[in-house]
Amino acid sequence: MKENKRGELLIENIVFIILNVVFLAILVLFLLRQGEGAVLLESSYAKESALLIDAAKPGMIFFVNMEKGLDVSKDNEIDFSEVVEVGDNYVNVKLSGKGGYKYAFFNDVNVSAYPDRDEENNLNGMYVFTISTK
Amino acid sequence: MNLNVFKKSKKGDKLISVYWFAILVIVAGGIVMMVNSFYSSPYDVREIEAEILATKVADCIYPGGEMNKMLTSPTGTFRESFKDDFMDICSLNFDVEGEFQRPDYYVEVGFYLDGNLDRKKFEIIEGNLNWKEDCNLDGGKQEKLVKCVEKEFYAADSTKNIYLVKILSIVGKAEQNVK
Repeated sequence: MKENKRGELLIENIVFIILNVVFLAILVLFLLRQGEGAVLLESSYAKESALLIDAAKPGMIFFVNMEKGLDVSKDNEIDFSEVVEVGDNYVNVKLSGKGGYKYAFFNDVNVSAYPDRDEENNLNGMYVFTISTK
Repeated sequence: MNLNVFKKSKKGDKLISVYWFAILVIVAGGIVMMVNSFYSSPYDVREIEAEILATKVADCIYPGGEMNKMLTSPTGTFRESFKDDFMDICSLNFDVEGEFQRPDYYVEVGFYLDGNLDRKKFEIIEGNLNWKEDCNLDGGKQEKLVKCVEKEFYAADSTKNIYLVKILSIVGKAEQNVK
């Protein structure tokens, strides 16, 4: 009888601990997954790129780190070379099937954007922006 | 005797574990709500944007520590043509996709002789004039409408006249930067 109660107590404690661990794991996973959503990344990349273009002068080349965007675009089956579109004074970043996020810049320059590749011709998650006069 | 104590403590344990999970749920709910409210508010980059705009205008007016030669004549008079072609000369474009819509930007540059605010000698205004009044609103209301940045510096022209140059740059774009 006593042995049974001890056994019950042990199982209850184990279940209690497991439930706690599962609960905390779900919470941690939730927190880790925040900030990696396509919508959030689209807006932050578009704004970052637009601000860099505004501050740039003709002849400049700069790189924007979009490693997280590369992973998200792969998950959403979006071609990484089509993630950034620079139009007439706006940057559009598209990481999901929706229209993407557009942000305007005021610097009247020509901008071309293309994904960077490493020595083995693989995408490295960087985007290259080149600025030239209009 | 011992068994009774054991029984009581076991009931207490169960009671504590129920409360423990209730507390966990409340804490987790709070964390989820806070994280959601943090990530659902957009990054407000308007102040940086307005700073960049003001700096770009300052660089255009006074490049390399000299008054732009297209702005003043050798005799020190301001050229109206600079005002007319200000956007082209300073390579600025407030129109997006060539659409006709009110721009989200406003720039105002004033030149005050000898730093005297009553002696404005020249003024350049570009962009959406409606934003200017919003700069005078109280903090909270203004934050939701525009971001205003003021810069000023002293500049000398070729005839050694000293001007206080005041630049006011404003960025709207509230929809994209404010929740």
